[in-house]
Amino acid sequence: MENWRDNRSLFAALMVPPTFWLVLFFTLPLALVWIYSFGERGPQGQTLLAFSFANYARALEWIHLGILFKSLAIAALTTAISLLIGLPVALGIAFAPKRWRGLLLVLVILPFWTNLLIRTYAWIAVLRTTGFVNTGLEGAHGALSALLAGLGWPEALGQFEPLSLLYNQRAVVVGLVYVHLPFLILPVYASLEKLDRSYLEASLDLGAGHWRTLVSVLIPLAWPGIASGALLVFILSLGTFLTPDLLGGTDSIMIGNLIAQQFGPSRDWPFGAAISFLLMYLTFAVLWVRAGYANRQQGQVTV
Amino acid sequence: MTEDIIQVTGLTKTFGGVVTAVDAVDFSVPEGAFFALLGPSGCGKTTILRMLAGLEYPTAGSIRIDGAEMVAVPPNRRPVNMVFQSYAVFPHMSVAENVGYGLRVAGVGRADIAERVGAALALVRLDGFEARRPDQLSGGQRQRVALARALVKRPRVLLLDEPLSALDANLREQMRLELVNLQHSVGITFVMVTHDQDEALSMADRIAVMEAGRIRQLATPYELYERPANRFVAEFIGAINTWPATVGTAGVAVAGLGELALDTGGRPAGPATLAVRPEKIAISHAEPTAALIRLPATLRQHVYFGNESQLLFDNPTGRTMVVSVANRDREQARRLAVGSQHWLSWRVEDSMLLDP
Repeated sequence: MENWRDNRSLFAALMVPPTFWLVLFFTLPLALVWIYSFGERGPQGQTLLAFSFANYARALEWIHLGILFKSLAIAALTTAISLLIGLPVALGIAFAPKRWRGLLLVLVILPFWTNLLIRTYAWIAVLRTTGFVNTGLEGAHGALSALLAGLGWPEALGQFEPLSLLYNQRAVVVGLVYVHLPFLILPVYASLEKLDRSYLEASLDLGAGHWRTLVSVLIPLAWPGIASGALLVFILSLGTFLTPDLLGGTDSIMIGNLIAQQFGPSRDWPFGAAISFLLMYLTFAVLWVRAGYANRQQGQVTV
Repeated sequence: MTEDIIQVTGLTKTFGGVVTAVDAVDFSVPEGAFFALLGPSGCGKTTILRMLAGLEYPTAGSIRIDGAEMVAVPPNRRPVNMVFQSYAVFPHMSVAENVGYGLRVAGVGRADIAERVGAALALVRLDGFEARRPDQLSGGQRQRVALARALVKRPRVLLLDEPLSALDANLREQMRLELVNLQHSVGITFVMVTHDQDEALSMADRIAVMEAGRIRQLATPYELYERPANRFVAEFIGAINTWPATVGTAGVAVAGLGELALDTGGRPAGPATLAVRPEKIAISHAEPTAALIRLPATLRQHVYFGNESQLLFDNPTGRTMVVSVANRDREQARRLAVGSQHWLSWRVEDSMLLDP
């Protein structure tokens, strides 16, 4: 049978809509932003076309680089925590009885059916001073105090001080992990799902325990999925601005917030464009390293 | 007499409480044997092998290996190693790393590992392949890696799951002989699962033929072929001609063959099955002596295999008979033309009497 891809005119006809879509809504806007990044800010905040590297120089000033480094650190921490939670979850789903797997996967994807903004506000309700965590703790504190008072130690615990869980970096990391966890679980699950179980059985048969099999066989073989998932979480959380905006404090500004600020209140589009591209170059560099690594692996591993 | 190395009693495996894959199976394997579990797919043979390895937990029964009860012992603590059907050679490790994996896990010293890996690879004739990656190996070479990886652990029993099924025909024939020779040289007990009767007959010295979770006969290849215990075994191992028969006081009555003076072997009067192997039947033009069981027949079809032919005959019994003949000279196949008339005959003692 003839492969439809061998029919050149049909192939071209089918490729027109996606190409058109990509050029109009991706390449052109991106080119525009790239051009802006060399422009200058007018006195009323308008963008004047120019050819200057002043915006990039400004983006590389310490105060801005500091925000970038902090963003990298937060993204790295988010990725690490996501791995710690996501790997066991993906393992659990992949090794669950077949009839349960579909349901468990739906549960992982379920949060996507709710708007990100609403889900983030929900975290405010959980973490704020009078939120679910603090009121729960206050209740436990009250009960324990009453118990101790009854046993003859009144005032043993003192006044309840609500924990400040919201509006700090910790809240940002909690929010980022929550939002991005499915992006880690799904690719890891996919690579575990297609993993030939006889590799694991062979490892057990050769005398390895479960931990040894996990470390020496399962993780190396599922590595493509783990790396993709971790990279996805890292890149997505590096560019985020909504979560730090809502859950973060004054010191939790991330690179995404800095960019949003320039396009919004500061009305300095050229500077915003320059930081955006700086972030993009960084992302490309990470992807390039990963692609190079994947190519080298390809020569050795066929899973 | 030494104790049997594997003793299985009442071994049962039920999946999901409904499917009984293995049904109260008993068998034992003497030390140093090449034992085969033979049967059609779904007969439970692989499940038994996996229970021996510890990869499947029995629903009931006992498995003793080397005198010790194994049912509660996890796979990594059993004195057995397995060659998987897919070989399961780790793709992220070199040949040497694969073979040495079991030794590294066991905490064997570096120098010892290198020496034993080298010896194991020499045993399967893969010396010089240490640094190769699995995707640079052919199917046959990967199988040798899997063999070396299992043998290097010096198991009491080596389990082989359909070891030859993934190889192409020529290599398969060659590996049969090699596996048998390997087993002789290492002296380890081999337990092999296969659905291929030729493979089992030519390699094993004891074979358990299985059907629907039960062992139908456990015997040497010779006994299985020449003295099958029942119709299932007779028909599963090799081709066979069968007729419904009736055992009487004087002998055995078969429609179209008359009353035959067969030794009924104490079989009670009633229905039975008469059977004879295709190669035991002689073809002649002249009527054979009355000492033989004989009948006239017409050649309906000639199936030519080169070295031998399978001939299908129409005959008075109403059942098509299969006769196989070796093509001992070049012209023989041409002499047997479709539609020609012949006499078929065989010796009384080559007949078998089986359950109906």
